[in-house]
Parts: sequence; structure tokens; C-alpha cells
Amino acid sequence: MVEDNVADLFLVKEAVAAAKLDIDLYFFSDGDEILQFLALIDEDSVRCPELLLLDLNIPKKDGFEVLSYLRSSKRCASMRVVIMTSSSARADREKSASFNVDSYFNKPGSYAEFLTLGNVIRELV
Amino acid sequence: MFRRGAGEMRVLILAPVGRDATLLAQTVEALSVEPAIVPDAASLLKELPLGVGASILADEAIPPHHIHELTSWLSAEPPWSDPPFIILTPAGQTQAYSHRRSQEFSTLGNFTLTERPVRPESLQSAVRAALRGRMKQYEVRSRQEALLRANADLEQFAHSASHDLKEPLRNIRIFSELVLKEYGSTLGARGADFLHLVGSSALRMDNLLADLLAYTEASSIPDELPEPVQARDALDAALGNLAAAIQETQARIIADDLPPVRMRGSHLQQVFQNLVGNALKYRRESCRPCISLSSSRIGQFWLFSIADNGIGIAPEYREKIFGIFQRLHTNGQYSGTGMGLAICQRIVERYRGRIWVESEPGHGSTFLFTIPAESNI
Repeated sequence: MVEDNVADLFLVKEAVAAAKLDIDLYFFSDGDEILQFLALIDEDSVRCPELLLLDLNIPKKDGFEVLSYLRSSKRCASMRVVIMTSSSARADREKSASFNVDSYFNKPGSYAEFLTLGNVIRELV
Repeated sequence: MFRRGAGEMRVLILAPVGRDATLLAQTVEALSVEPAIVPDAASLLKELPLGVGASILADEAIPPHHIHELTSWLSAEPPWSDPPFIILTPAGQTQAYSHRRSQEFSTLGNFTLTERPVRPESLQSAVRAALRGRMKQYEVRSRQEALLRANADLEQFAHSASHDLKEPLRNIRIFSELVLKEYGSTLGARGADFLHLVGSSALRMDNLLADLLAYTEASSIPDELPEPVQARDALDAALGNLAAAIQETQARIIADDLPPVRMRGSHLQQVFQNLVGNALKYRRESCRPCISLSSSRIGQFWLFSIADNGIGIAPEYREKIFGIFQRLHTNGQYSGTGMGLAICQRIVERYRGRIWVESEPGHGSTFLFTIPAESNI
């Protein structure tokens, strides 16, 4: 999971807990960190994680740069991806779709709606 | 004086006889502009893209196939650019000759035929006039560039509004909600009220940002008119989004046959949605809302009209209501951001249409707007 906003980080953890999902979450707070991790996976024979939860608006390399690297990477090209973003802009949605993301989660403005992220994740893992 | 590239005001001279070229160059130099002599039409075509203020061409040096090449170079020039050509024709030609050459050169657009022998003073005044016109073109270019930059800044701002500004607002809403949910009982009524106000203020700001974003997105319309869409489809989509409000107010909506128009469907839908939405919102309590939509052809445009039987608008506000964030009521009376009509105006004007309102306070309003008809391109 790549997320720089501590409030959202908290909410994602809440959503995972509320959905009682048995998953291990690894946190990255900017684009460079996740890219370094992906590069490590490519070098080693470490298995790719099942799912990437990706905020588009992150420091350093942005979400689209991460997606672009991911889709051309050796081991993780077909990793499932959930975009989590505050943006409802059509351009962002279309650009995400062009990277074959599995889900586009428009971060909602209420706690209850945010918890529905848990269901989105459950269907993909 | 505006001058960007070094070559932008130079005068290219194409005269096949060396002595002619030198004389022309001397004549031009007297104007303190920089002449550049080119030996043949092929070199002229190489030099033009490097910058030109005006060109002086000897008629006999430009056979028809070179006119063709010049024309195709011109057609790739940006819209502001219309470089001037001064063409010197041989002395003592017949009128028929001048007529034929004039037609052959016509695709160059900005050209002047001048018969030899030309007095230096006449040539100088022609060059001076041509350069003056060219200078104005450069001014148009810099204004256009400034406009493009301003638009790019606006789009950048819209992007920030969608990401950077909305994100913290969303969290203010969620976490004030969580405090209320988990600690509401210990806060007391006053504390809970304060937190409700925090939440509703954040929500309002969120709506303002969303509308500001819609407003800036309405500006990103391509230069070419899109393929026609059925106005009826756009209206149906708009009414679908307003279904709850229509049901709640028991509104009667009457729409004539509507034509196809060359607009992006989402833009027309937004215009209908904002106008019909307003008609529903600003209804009179005493009567059931009745909204009728119709269209008529006026020249190259369709005129759409959306008439209601609502509260109407006083004459002094009929222009103000189209401004951004302009409101005539408090949020307690009618909710809204004051962006709906600004968005409509932005969209309609981007399609070279116009929008205005006619109204009798207390008896309803009719919003009218024009947009390009299907056959118009």
C-alpha cells in the first residue's frame, strides 16, 4: 500500500479491520519507496505481493509513474491494483483504466463509505 | 518594440539577377531593417521557417510549382501568422498577364504585386507597411501565448483543487464525524453542534471546489466542433440526475422535439441539468413547478429556451447571476455554490454561443442559449 496521508492510512487500516481481512499490509509513503521495492522484487525471486493499494497523489514519483513502472516490470506486470484517490477527475480515471487497474476507489467523505474499501479488497485477494 | 528571434523582422529578397538583389537590399537597408538575399526559390523555402518579416520576390523567379510549395509552407503556419510578400512584376506587361499572375499568387494570401521599375521610395513604403503588419501579427502571437499560459495555469489549479485541496477537507469531514460518533455523548449539545458545523463547512467547501473544477473543465473544449449529439439524449440524462428533485417537487416538464447539436454530450447535459435544476430549486411555493423546453433555428445556431413559473429574477441581477460564486440568496433560503450559471455560460460561450435570461419577477424566468447547429462547421 502506497499512501502518504496518515489520516487515510488510518482509514484504510480501519476498513481492513472492519472487513476482517486476513492480509499483511506493507506501507510505503512515496513513489520512490515503492519503486525501490518493486526493483528489489525484479532482482530477486521474491514473490510479488497479491495486491497494490495505490494513491495517485503521492510525493516524489507519482501514482502514474508507479503504474507505468509496474506494468513493464519483470515479475509484477500483472499485479492487481486498486487506485485510491481523492480525484474524481475523468482524466485520472481514464488514465488509470489505461493501466488496467482492477478498481478505482474514489475516497469518500464519510467513515461508513470509506469502510467499503474492505469489500473491494476482499474481492481481489 | 517586440522582437523575439533575430530573424523575425528580416526581409528576404529573391531576385535572380545579382545586381537587382543588391539594389533591393540597399533600398531595404535604408529602412534600417536587415535584408537577406536568397539565390533561388529553393533557398527561399529553407530560409522562411527561420523567420521572416517580409519577402520581396521577383516575379520571374517564382514558377507555379514554387508557388505551390510556398502555399503548403504557409498552410502549416500557426493561425496568427500571415507573412507578407511583395512581388515585383516585369515592366510593360499586359493586363492579362498581371491578372493571371495575380490569380496564381492568390494562394499566398498576403501579397502585393508591384510593377517595375519601382521607385525606391515606393518600395520602402511597401516594405514598411508589410513589416508593420507583421509586427502586429507577432503581438497577436504573444497575446495568444500569454492566454495559453494562463489557461494552463488554470488547469493546473483545477488539478490542485481536485487533489490537494479536497483531500484534507475529506478527512476533516470524516474525523469530525468519528469524534461525534465515538465521543458525542461526552461533548454535550454545544460541543456536538460545533463539530456538526465543522463537518457541514467542510462539505460546503467540498461542493465549492467540485463546482470550481467543473467550471475550469468546461474551458477545455477542442477547437474543432465535436460530432453532433442528440440534445434529447443530453436532456434525458440531465433529467435522470434530477429525478429525485423532480419527484419531490411534482414538477411538470414539457420538452418539444430537440435537434442534434455539435457539442460534447456531457457539456450539453451539464447545461440542461443546471438550468432545469435551478428552475426546480427557485420554484414558487404556491404553485406546482412547470418547466418547458423548446428550440428554434436561428441562422447557423439553435436557440434553446427553458421557461419556468418560478420566483423570477429582478432585472438588476440578470447579468450578475452568471458570475462565478454569485448568489442572490443565503444558504438557508436556497442551497448552492453560485457556480451553476457560471458553468453554463462558460460552456455555451466556448461553443461560440450566448446565454441570457428574460424574466418577470414573481412570474418565472426563461433562460435562452444558442449553440452551433448540426450543419455548421
